[in-house]
Amino acid sequence: MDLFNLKAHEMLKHLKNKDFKVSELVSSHIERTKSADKKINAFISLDFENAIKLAEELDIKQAKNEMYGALFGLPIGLKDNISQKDIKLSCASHILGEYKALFDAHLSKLCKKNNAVILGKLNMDEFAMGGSNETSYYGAVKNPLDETLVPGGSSGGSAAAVAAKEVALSVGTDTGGSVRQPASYCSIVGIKPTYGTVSRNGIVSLSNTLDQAAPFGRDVKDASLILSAISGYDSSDATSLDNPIHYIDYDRQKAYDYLKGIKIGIPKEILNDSMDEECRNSYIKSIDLIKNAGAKFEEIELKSLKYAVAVYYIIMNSEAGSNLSRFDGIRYGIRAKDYENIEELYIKTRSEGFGSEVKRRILLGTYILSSKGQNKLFENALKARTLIIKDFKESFSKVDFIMTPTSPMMPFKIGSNVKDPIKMYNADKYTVPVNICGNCAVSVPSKSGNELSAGVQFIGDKFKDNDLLKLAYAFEGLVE
Amino acid sequence: MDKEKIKDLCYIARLNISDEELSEFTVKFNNILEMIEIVNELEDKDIEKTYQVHDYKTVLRDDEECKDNYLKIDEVMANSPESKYGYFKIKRVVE
Repeated sequence: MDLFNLKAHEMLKHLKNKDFKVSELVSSHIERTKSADKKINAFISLDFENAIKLAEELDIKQAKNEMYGALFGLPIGLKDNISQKDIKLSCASHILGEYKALFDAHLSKLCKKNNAVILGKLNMDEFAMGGSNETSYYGAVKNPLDETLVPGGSSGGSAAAVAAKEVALSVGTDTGGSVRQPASYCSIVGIKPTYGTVSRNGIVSLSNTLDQAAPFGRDVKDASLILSAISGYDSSDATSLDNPIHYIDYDRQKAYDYLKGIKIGIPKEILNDSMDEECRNSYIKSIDLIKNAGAKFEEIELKSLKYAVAVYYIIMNSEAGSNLSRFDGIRYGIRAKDYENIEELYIKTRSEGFGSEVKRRILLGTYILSSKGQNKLFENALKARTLIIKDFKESFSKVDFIMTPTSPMMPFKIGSNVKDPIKMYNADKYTVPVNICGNCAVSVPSKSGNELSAGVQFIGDKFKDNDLLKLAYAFEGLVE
Repeated sequence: MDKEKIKDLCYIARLNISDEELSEFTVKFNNILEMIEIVNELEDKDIEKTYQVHDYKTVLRDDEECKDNYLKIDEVMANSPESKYGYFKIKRVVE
């Protein structure tokens, strides 16, 4: 059997039993990546040399029964907006050129401390702007389940690498669904924890009040494993907080028992929504499945949901426009060759360096925050944000979780939606409210096996991440 | 928003887009504006604004040197497009 076929938690067990060495496990993934990634394009940078060296060091520890760290010997990948010291950091943009990260992001530090073996940096939409991984300067990523389809985005490379078994686990970032939606499109598990659970230190900001690092796994247990390793308070991120996530070390029966005592809310706004038939069918079927297992359901109302996509795009574009002003061609990244004065240097560098989606969002953000424009848009979005949070708070006083489809769309053909931003933006409508509120949510495939399926999203109130994982673990068992 | 206003915006953001892109941009821009203007329904409503989702307090640290949290000049300059004598090098700004 090829070792890359194992789930991460199975790999750990085998490593403990000394069934194989860390270096064998890592080589298996490297070979897999060498062959599969020619088509999938999940990686931007590879670091096989250091991975092999580290694996050999871990071999010695394994032999001496000194296996420390939750991720001991596991081959993983990080989205290319997460700093890893001395490794190229591109955010899938031309503007960063051959920039090398000067320090480890807090989460990279934790992965290393837990003895994970980082194989490289993963492809994404440029500066995490997009929902299909088609805006990357390094080319589109393909969906491993069907190479004519998009893998979702913006963490498309992180999702595809796990789905294609190039890595055991990966970390992406989720600002409006950028982990849950690709998890759904690639039929794997993606969890966005409560805002602040994973430090944002060392992650290139898209939208500071919405961004959250979020992991992928081939199943719920795997996702809980890596999240348990990277969560925790970090004094270098002022928005970080202490919200420990526990690895699922209990059996499925405990999760099934838990299911019998909970109530799940179904937003009535979503039942009447237009969406792909497959998404609707999977959603309704999944509700029945959970109902039959003993959970209670209640219809809820989220009146302010109509503002969610607008609020998201106002806040995200404004914060992004401001964040991206640091790319000026002076201190790092590329610099335009011909310029007469400093102003021309800025303009030429930024125009050559940014792709059109990024330019569009900077301009939108600039407009929203400019006095010439209506900066009332920003103020009103912050009011709507309050209303959406209130709606969710009220719902969580009646139900334990809320269930929605992860996306109203199935993965589409590469190139088919790129010209229609409104359609792409609406694809995020079930995922963005979670970031607006800072809640936690997980996307779990609605079918078992490695086939295309519509993901189901479970949303939990702030700090209910561990209970949310228990529900997801139960649902996954029912689907199997 | 017409093309001229988008051009002004480009200057504020220090960006340049081609004439071809400008036409396409203007259409998309207006479509998006139309979509997000829904929040202006709340213009006259007295609703608190949410800036952050959690109640944060400013965290203070002791006023000590952060020994392992700074970069050496050489490390910083390694990523710069052009540098000299430990400074970022650009064309003369003041004539």
